[in-house]
Amino acid sequence: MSARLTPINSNIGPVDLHRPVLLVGRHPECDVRLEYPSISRRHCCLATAYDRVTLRDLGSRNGVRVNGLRVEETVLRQGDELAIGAILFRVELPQPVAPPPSPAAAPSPGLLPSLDEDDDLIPIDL
Amino acid sequence: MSSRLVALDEGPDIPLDGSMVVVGRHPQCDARLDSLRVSRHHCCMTNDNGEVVVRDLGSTNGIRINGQRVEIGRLRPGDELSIAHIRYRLESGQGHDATLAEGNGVLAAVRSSAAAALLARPAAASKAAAVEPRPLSVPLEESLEKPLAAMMREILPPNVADKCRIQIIVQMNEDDQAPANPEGDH
Repeated sequence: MSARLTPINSNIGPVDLHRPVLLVGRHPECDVRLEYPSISRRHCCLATAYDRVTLRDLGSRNGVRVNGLRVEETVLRQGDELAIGAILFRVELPQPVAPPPSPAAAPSPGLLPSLDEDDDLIPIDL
Repeated sequence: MSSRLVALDEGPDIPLDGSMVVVGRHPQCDARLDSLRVSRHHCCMTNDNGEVVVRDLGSTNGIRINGQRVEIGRLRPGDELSIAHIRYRLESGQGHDATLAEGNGVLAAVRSSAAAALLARPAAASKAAAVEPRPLSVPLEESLEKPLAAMMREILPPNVADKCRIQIIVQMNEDDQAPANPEGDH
């Protein structure tokens, strides 16, 4: 389940943070489009990584506030009240249910196969 | 896991250790690129399971992944990202092999010049080959490289040469391989 922003003072639908990076603003190119006069064309950016949601103001005119305080960049917490321009949201983060996965996750494969696995490669002592 | 965008042209590398990195000309950007071709807020990126997701922030000159202009895209280690005209390569925290034969990125330009340089230096090659054989009992120090590898290091761009360990491997073509095992299945 992804984190979600539930609107408080508007009739727009909830915003699911289903992608690692979301651009929020009034411009048609934005991932989350908020067509309100208090919203800048490219207002802020939300990044989800390692179960943390980071919000970053992109030099918007009316800014971003978390629990009433204007912020440039912040990590959102469960229950935070987020104001993007004049639009208010409640932050809902997925609650941890299971213990974290085992750290012995398989490493990502390299660009090239390991030399040991490739019989065609013959190292020559020069 | 920390990774970094290694600058292929000019300017510093961009470390990607935080949860979000905003790149642009604006003073408040995490990575500030002081070029008029770079927009004030050009792109932002975040780590996602060892890969990097990058999103254009409506920049004028855009971003490209391996030459393809994208609005949002995913970088894997070794991929090339262009921010306006400035090129970077994503490197993961772990080391990785690069080969001239693969022709990837920085090394691609080296491939032909390396061959030419080696051919043009027969004297150096023969001098290097004349190094006395080393008794087996003497352990090979890490810093002591084979003559051919040392020559290759000279040819590589300095920013590559400083970071890599060179191993020369000769790969046989199929035609040159020994005949198939006669005891095989019939």
